[in-house]
Amino acid sequence: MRDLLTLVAKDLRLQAKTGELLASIFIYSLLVVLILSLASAPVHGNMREGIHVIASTLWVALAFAGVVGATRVIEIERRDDCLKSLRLAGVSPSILYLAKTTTNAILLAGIQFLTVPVTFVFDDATTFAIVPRLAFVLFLGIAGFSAVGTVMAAISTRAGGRESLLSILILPLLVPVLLGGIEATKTLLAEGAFLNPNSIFWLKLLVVYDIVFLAVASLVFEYLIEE
Amino acid sequence: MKALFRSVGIPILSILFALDIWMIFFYAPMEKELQASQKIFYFHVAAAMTAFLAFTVAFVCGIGWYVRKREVWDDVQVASVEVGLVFSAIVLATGPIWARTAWNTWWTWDPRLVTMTILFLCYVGYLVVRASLSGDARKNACAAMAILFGINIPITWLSIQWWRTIHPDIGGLPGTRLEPKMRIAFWFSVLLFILLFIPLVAIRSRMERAAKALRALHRERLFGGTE
Repeated sequence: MRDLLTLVAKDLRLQAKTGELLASIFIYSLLVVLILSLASAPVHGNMREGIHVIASTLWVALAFAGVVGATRVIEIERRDDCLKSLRLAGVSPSILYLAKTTTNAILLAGIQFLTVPVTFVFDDATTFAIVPRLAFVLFLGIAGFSAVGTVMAAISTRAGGRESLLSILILPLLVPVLLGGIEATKTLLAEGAFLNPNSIFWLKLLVVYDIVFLAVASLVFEYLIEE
Repeated sequence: MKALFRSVGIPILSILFALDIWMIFFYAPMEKELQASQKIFYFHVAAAMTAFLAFTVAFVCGIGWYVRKREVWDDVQVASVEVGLVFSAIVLATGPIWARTAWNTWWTWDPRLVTMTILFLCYVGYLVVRASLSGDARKNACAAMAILFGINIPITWLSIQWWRTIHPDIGGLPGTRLEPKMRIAFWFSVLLFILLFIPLVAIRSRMERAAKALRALHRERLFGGTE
């Protein structure tokens, strides 16, 4: 547990120092939001369609940001044999995986913290009262993205590919998260709460997905960082 | 084994396939509404079932590789993925042809269609990564992908099913509600496809083993056997 915290703190300090990664991903997801909102501008004014646009914009922006973020967080360690040093220092691979996933999740959460208000403004969301519940759905989604993103980034960076290769690998894997997230967000925007069994169901799916992939990925991660 | 397959396997399979085509077109009765277009079903569903079988085999091989680091797990794994991709391509090609006559559209967002497409895309990504890695790193990465994609398939399947609840209910195992003669022709097709799948995988994994042996020989000559 202490290893985990140390590693996460190290990564976050590293990111905070340069700030470059956070800034570039933020601008990137901002542009994704802008472009998607622009592309669907004609439906504004229609309440039901509007909700659909907000929900899908948020999640697509998250997906794209997730691809970029996951690659960078792993790439840092690939450089100069950092992974080897970490392994030599006695860090267990599962802890390393969980640390990278946590860093990834914190970065994505930071990005969402900035992106959500912008999306609300661009797409004319009516209420801010749902924000805590929305944060909960996003948290589940971010956990799924980071869990899958980290393990797949370990593969794609090893194969010498960057974001393009990673997106081939993780976007199909993330279909359940995207569907679940978008559906849950839609009901949330329409009803303001997770009242109907449909949205509860999607939340359960997200939780199951997160747990399964965190568990399996932390087991196989060991083999993916061997040099 | 190759000689055995050539002298015995190919003739037997050819005869069986001729029999299969006879059964499909002459033995099984004509469907009342869909007429001849329904005949594609015998190939389409059989290919789909074989593709699912292939990816399940790859999943098991992925686990096998981590448990017992034996080359055969990797060879059979890549063989099943490739053969599975061919069968999924058959499914994706025959599906729209049938859908055009039956549903009057090439494509619809039915769970089956989406799952199959996602499945196909996942394993295309697998081959992309496989092509850009070598040695143990490749085997580890491929095993991880085979496992993660394998887990993802049922989750995706369920999530899409719940996302689009309008899909036609086929009621349990495919083929159980068919007319008896149709059922016989259908299961014969399925068995035949699986019978074709087995030698294809066996041959492809032997090719993989031979390719590895050849690479090892090259290395030996280059580095004078010091490896």
